[in-house]
Amino acid sequence: MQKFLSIPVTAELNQLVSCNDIKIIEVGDATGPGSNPTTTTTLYYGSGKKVTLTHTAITAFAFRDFIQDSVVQCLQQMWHDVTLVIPEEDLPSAVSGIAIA
Amino acid sequence: MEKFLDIPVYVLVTNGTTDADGTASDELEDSTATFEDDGVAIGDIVHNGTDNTYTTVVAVTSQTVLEVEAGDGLDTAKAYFIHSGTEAIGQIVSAVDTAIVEQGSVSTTTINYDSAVSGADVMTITHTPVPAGSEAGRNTIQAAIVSAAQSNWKRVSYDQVGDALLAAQDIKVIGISLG
Repeated sequence: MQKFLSIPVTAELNQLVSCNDIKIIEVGDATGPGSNPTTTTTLYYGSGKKVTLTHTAITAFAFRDFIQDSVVQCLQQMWHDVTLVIPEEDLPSAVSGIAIA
Repeated sequence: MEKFLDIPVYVLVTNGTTDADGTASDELEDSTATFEDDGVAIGDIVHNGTDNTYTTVVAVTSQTVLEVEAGDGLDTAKAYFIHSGTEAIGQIVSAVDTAIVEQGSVSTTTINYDSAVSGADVMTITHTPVPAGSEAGRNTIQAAIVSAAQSNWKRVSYDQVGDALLAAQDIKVIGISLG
């Protein structure tokens, strides 16, 4: 069953990010948790793919915890609620880009 | 169906490298440290990363000296990491597609996923040590995965694993990595 976060990206409207097959969510970019820990958060998938969210600086773990909670909330929705739309005002810091590696 | 374990990870308070021999005095000494300002407290976890050994803070003697458990003083040039003994932040890790759980060492438990992708197939949970020969970390994580799989579909995140680890062998997780 497919589930997505719908994340508002500055000047790009919303972008969908899969909630399926996530193994772990870490602070930092795709090179590792120690790299840009306050401005990037990365979702690691079982396929080996990594989706990195770039955001304005925030206290360590605050953005990761928000994404973790959002993923859990999304997966708790009924099957026909495929996306969890995150209002821009709910984001703990603004997302400027989403990239996959 | 997606399921996660919500594992409390005890936060890193400070880290550095010792620059004096504290073995005789049961101490950890770092002349550049600011242990009091950093909020290091009695009961915090000390991980000697150089030797991969663990002890706990018995007293915060000064900004630069900590007293640790008897016989556990750190020699010079040891990389140390001090984690809170009380404050933890939950990190979710996948509890599905698991092939096997292993007690990798006394201070690591691994969740090995049924994945052909190197780098996405082994979750390493680093924790305070269990006695040699104990499989307490493995047994507790295994039981949590089973409980998570048995839980209602809306219970996506299973959050009882932290209490179970403490009950098993007073196990506190200090890091989780996928690789």
